[in-house]
Amino acid sequence: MKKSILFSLIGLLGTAFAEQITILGINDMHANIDGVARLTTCVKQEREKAPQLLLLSAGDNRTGSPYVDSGDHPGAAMIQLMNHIGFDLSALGNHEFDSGPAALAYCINAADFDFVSANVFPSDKHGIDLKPYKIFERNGVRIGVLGLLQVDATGRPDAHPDMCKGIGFLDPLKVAGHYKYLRSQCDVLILLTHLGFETDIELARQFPEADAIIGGHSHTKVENGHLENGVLITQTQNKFKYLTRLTLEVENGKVLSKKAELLPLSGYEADAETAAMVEQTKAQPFFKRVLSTVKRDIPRRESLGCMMADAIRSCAETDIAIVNMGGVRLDTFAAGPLSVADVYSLDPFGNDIVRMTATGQEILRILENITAHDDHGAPCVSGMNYKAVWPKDSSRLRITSASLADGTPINPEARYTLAINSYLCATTADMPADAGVSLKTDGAACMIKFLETMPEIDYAGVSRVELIKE
Amino acid sequence: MIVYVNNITVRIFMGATAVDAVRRYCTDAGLPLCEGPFYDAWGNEIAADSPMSDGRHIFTTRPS
Repeated sequence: MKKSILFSLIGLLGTAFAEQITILGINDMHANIDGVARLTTCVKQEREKAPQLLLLSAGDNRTGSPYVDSGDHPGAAMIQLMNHIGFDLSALGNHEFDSGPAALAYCINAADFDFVSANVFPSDKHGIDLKPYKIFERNGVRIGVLGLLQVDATGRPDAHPDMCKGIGFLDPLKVAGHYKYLRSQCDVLILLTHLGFETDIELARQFPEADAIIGGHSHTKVENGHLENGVLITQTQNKFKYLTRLTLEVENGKVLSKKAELLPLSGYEADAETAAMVEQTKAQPFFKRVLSTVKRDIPRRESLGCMMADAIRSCAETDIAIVNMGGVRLDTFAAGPLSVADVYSLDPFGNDIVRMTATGQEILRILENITAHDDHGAPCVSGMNYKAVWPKDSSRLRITSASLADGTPINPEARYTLAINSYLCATTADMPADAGVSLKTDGAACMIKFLETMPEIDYAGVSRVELIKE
Repeated sequence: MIVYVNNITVRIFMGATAVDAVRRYCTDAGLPLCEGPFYDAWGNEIAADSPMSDGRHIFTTRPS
């Protein structure tokens, strides 16, 4: 009798105190390393309240800063900072592939935490150590975390196809269905996804067994969680703006309650030790690296624009490239070394390069229409030359003749491949029928790639536009 | 690809972001360029560099 009362008391005690589980989620940090020190302070404060908490990233840790994305091991500087903060797990984002499988493998090996993605299948030769899910135990509570990555209509994530070569990808929603059994192995089941909020909604409808989705990719600010089909969906926009604190009460293997709060990281002081690490990351000689030597002074902005257009055309492997004069941010360049920093001074915008096909007529129309919203001058070109008049009473130039670089007249009906930046693509009226595809690389990156292959360049006096002012 | 800004069809290059789509929308409509904030169909704020996918709806004012 006494024994049974004792067991009942133990049983009652066991059920009387629910465990509180804290999970911190962040996504799409995009190498915005100036935010890392504030995140550190926030995580430290949260750990004081909940020492057993989990810190998770929903992917796209890198891509967004040359300090992180360049050098011998692209992305690795961000991993070092994540190690310092004490991340427990990361999902793969599409941008984790931006420097190819070898760079991704290096980053994963350098991480003190695991990467999860159930629908990504690298081959053995890549050496990418990836798990579909991971199960943690905190205060006796088993927390399963399943990773999923978005794939687009091509069956690949949004990354340059060459960078994902040899890696298999499957539809994340179909794959998720195969992991429903995890529910029986865990007390808490989290989906750590890089799918975008809209797809997370669909996932929640198909996967009510999950307790929460810590999502990423769409850079959505989800205020205090969105409950869909009983699944709590969170996302913290991007670039260290917010952190989500997910709190779950678990008793006897059941989640009794759950809530998500969005913590604005701007409200936290920078952690001094982390800030010093960030400064060290920035002190790398990347920006000082000399790419080429400018043989003679380049006294004209148009000549610098021609160099930029050549770089974009080379990078995109197109017949023609166009750069708007407003996109050329230096007027002159003195003879001597040309460094990475100079490239970013020349093109600081970070606009992606878009490749498309267009008829000769469409290309000439683009050139004319650009001047309707860019009053800095006639657009710079590569792969062609043109003559134009700028009527007194018009803000737009009118092209009178145009030829390819070899002198062949541009055929209005023929189709040409064209490289142009995303800003022009979005703001120029009457664009070609082919809307184009982003190369997922920006103008500065193209210039770096172009210039580092040429020990010496000479653009003094280069001009491809003959302008007649009426 | 086709996306929708304020329920208006917008044709934009693959790999475009929210701000690209809104700029295209503004250019096509003859409106001044709008730089944000932008919202999804649920009224959540999205960043200007939010990646667009075919068929996605975004808004320049919070949908009711």
